Amino acid sequence: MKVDVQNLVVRHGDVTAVDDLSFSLAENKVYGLLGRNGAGKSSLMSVLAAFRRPTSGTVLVDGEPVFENRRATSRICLVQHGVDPADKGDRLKDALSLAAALRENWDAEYAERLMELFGLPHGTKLGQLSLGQRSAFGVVVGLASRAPLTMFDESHIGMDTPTRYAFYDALLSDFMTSPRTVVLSTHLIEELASLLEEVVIIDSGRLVLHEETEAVRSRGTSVTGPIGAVDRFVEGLTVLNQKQLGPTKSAMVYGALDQAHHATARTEGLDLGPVPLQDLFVHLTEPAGEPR
Amino acid sequence: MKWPVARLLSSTLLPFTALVFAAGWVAVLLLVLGVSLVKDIGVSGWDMASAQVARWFMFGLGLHLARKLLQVAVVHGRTRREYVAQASAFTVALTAVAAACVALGYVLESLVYRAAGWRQGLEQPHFDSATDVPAVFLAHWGVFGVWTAVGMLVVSGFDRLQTGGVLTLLLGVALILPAVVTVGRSGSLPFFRDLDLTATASLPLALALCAGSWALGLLLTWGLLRDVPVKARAAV
Repeated sequence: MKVDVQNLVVRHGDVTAVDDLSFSLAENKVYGLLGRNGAGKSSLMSVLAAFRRPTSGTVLVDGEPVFENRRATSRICLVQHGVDPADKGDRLKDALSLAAALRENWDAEYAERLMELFGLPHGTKLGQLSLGQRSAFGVVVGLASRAPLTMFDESHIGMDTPTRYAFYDALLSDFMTSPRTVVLSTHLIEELASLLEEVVIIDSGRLVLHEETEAVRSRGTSVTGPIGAVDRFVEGLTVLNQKQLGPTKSAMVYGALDQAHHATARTEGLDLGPVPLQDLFVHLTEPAGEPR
Repeated sequence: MKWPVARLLSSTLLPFTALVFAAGWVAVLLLVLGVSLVKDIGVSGWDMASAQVARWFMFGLGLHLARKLLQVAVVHGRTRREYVAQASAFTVALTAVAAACVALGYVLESLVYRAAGWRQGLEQPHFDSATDVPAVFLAHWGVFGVWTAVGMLVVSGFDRLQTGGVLTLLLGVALILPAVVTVGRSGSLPFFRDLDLTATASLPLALALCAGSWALGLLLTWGLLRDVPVKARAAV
């Protein structure tokens, strides 16, 4: 499902959560929506899923406006932390029946497999689940919806590490067999980085960057070698982070390296490698006047 | 599948409503049996319960319809327009079932009272016999429709306008007035006690007023819900 956002503004009272945002998402890709707390990610996703009306601007999915448009909303699923897919007093089996009744593409058999995968008890009430279990149930609802645009907003909150990995595996294997447009909002960037084909980074409601993940990664380089050689190499470059262990130092620099830098690295015996996406994200969303 | 929201509501809330009324009927009967040990029974327990308690239950169902279930429907890809239209249509069936339960309750109670030799005293302007099923049914259908619509309106008002929702409370009281002229003893409200306007309108007029009030309540509810946002609860 293709998504086009043009000049989108979302205000909550005096607060501007999304500020003149424009971007497009192609269909059948996995996107990471990254931003610091309060960057506007949840507001943006809420508008994409017609959970709220935008203050101004347009949101189109496959060329159709989203808000109060049944043709569009029936093909979108947003799993958002804090928004339950059923009443807290409903048992999970009833919550699944509810989803089956309301979702045209609901895959009940897949939902059962996911319930088993996450070890979710059918007879327990939604409100009695732990935070991690509730998040896992949200993932069940999101994946089994088979919605051509499926979004997960901080859906991993409260999940333990094995459950998170089970979520990522389930998402990936389902995506391979039934491609759809997936948008993942997360703060656990490195954990999810391998899943993301493209990243959209927003800050203060504005678009910072929208690129393929590999292109973002190529914006930075890690340099490892003897302390003196690394210090000489990074002189004049934007250093994101540096660590030292005995006589060895590792520094992460932002920006493309020219031929001369590559030649110097070879001469000095320095190792050049990729930079964690998370470190680049931190740099790109750094508040003005607060360099690392 | 056509009318998924109405089907869903029907499969869950109609049996629930019937069960609650059945449980209520048994509870009233037990209460009456208890009272009969200390004094003679001369009034219908069901008449009092169905006029005074049942309307609040319908009000609560209205709250549930307009708040919680709307949000769930939107989360599952349904539009507000679709939900409110089908939920509004569903209130016709819901209140009909509730009114049928009340009418059945009167008939069953009359059998018990007859067997026990008690007088089933009714204080109603539009029916004076528990076996006048059409009048009992129609009067309660109208009253329950109004109370359900007002429940939907009030919760929508508070959801949308926060403290300004208190205005919908006042509006709700005005909308309930037609119900007061339809079923006796249904005029007692917090701060508005004993709005006894019964016997001031014929049953057809009372029902017409109820229908108007019901429709106006649903229309105002739509006005409040047409672009209501789905909000996340506070982080846990």
